[in-house]
Amino acid sequence: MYMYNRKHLFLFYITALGCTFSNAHADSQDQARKLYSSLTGVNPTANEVNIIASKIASGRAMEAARDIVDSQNGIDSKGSFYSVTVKNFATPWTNVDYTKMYPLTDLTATVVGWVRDEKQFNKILYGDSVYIASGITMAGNVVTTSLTNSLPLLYSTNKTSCEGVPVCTFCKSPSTVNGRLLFIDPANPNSTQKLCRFTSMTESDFKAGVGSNNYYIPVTDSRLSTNLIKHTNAMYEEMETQNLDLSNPRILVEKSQAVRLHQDEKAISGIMTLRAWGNANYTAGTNRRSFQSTMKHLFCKEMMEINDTNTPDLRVRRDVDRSPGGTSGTFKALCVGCHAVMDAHAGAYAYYSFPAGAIQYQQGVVVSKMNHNALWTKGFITQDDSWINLSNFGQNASFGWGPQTEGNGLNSLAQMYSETKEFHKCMAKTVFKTVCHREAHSESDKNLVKSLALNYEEDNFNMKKLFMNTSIACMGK
Amino acid sequence: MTFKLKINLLALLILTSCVEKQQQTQLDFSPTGANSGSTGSGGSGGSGGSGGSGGGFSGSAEMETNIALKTFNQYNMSLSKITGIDQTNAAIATEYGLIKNSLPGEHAAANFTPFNQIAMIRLSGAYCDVFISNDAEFKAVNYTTIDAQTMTTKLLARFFGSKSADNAALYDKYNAEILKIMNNDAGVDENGAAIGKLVPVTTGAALNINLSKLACSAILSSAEFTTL
Repeated sequence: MYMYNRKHLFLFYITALGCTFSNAHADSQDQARKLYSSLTGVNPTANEVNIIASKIASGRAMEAARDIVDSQNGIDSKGSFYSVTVKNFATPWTNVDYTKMYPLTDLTATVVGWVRDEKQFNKILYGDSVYIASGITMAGNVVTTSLTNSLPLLYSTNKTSCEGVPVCTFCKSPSTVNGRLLFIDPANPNSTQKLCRFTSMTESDFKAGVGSNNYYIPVTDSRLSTNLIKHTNAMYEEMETQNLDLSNPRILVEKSQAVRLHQDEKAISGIMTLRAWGNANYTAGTNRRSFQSTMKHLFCKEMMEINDTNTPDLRVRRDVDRSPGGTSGTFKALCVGCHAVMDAHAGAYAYYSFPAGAIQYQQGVVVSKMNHNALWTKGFITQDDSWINLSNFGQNASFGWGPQTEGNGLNSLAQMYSETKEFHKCMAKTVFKTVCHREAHSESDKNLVKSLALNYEEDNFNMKKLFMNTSIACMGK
Repeated sequence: MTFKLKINLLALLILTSCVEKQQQTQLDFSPTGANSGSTGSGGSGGSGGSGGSGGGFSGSAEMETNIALKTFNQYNMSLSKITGIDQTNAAIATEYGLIKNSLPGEHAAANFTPFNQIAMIRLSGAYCDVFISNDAEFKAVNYTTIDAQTMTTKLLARFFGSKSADNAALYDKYNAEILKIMNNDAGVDENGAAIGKLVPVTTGAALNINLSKLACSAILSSAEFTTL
């Protein structure tokens, strides 16, 4: 009965409230245009409008939304839902300026993958997952022209040589590959020198790719090497430069973070241990920025919004001056409100740092910046990666925190975050802003976001459905 | 090169159609329908190429709820889709790399600046340069003999669709503006005096090719294509 009521509440908000800012008299053609541009950021063709409008008119808006998202059944959105909309959704999480105007990263690509594959999105905070490029398609453009006119791609099943070209010394696991591929360097298409790489494709897959005008470059291409994502973002930037179709599961594939990013599996915790997150949050500082970013991006809260001076200050570290400007009143009336909450969580980051362009994690070794600047010697000294949630009482109890109240390591903290109601609401709010192109300020929009968040939970945290539901809510009626 | 120099001159012409879109959008997407009379200030959005950062719209709150700009990557993807030119095309990628930071980073129309408008014109110009030269339909045109109205109709059909009962008013306005460009008419200044020609060539295929590229850019950088 409870579920029944919540479903109906959601439908009510979609039909009655969600569209109040859109055209109150939109016909199905207008709705089709709106739905398409909300989900993709681009304009539909006249034919696409007709297809979508027909489905909307017959009460199949969700089906139309899925066609747009997955570019199927007569809709050719060219993967822009993933490469534009979802990318814009997640990119502010990857940089200190919170800007969308930032290259594709491992974090953005991983969010795209989780949305595309309809994985249980709340687990993205702690799951062992990173999406990388594999089997790069090179449809169209100069590469195809060159290949067609002069040097066709060659496939060889010879595992030890590549048509006379020396074996690629950086290929780590030759036993796992299916063959080799000769291709023209996309960066130098007029060169007569062919590159030789391992490929994980079978010969039949390769031939199918060629037949469909898709030329695949193997996983170990020098500029797209999966072995390099620990120290550089180059692979992801190259994916963007080549405008690769992120909706293609043969191109963007999921792998473990183990070895690629971390040697110790205890270090792994979803997007919070990907390189982009580390670059933005574990560089220099005191390892508190990760908490601030978590609040901002995953809970939609600025630090001042969580300021609660009634929170016990037992975990406030030594580098926080208890008498700023010579008066303890400032600390008690302001500083402690954020630090008491934050420092209690931030212990989970104790073993992480970001020196030399990569996340470094050393189990049992507290990074020195956690205990620097002992302004107040009686303050808390971080000795391990334990964390405690002191916010289950007071104003921040409204977060609806996950049940675990203390633990060790980022992974357990992230699991607690993943079960927190405010995280789910924030995702609904951020998706709303992404596809409806406005903040949810009005009461009707706020109510809509609440019902979208409830529906998102009932859909087992299916982020793709959240995008589709939200776009339908904003397409007008 | 001439094409690039002339791109800036398009701003005034394009803003006229931008204002039309803003006016129509406000009418169509009004939360209450009550603000249909507030579009009178739209005219000032075109003056001085302000790009609508101030006078072109009727109020910040309404702008944020009614009009959403395409962000840099949405606009690039849109142009790629409608022209069929891949974003990885060397000329496009180079131009996009140069002006990306000047394109809108957010949807809020309140933050729209003249730099955004010029950047959108430049990017649409890059796409149109490649499009008119390479698209099979437009490559086949006899640019020595084609007349202004025929090319205008052809461009509108490709990017805007055919004229119908639903879009007749907007179509006619687009047709009038694009026809001016195809007639090599740079319009008039603030005193009503004719500015002169957009392209300083009187006849020939080169003139019509350049004008077609300018007209294409005018359409693709108008509000129909720069807003969501």
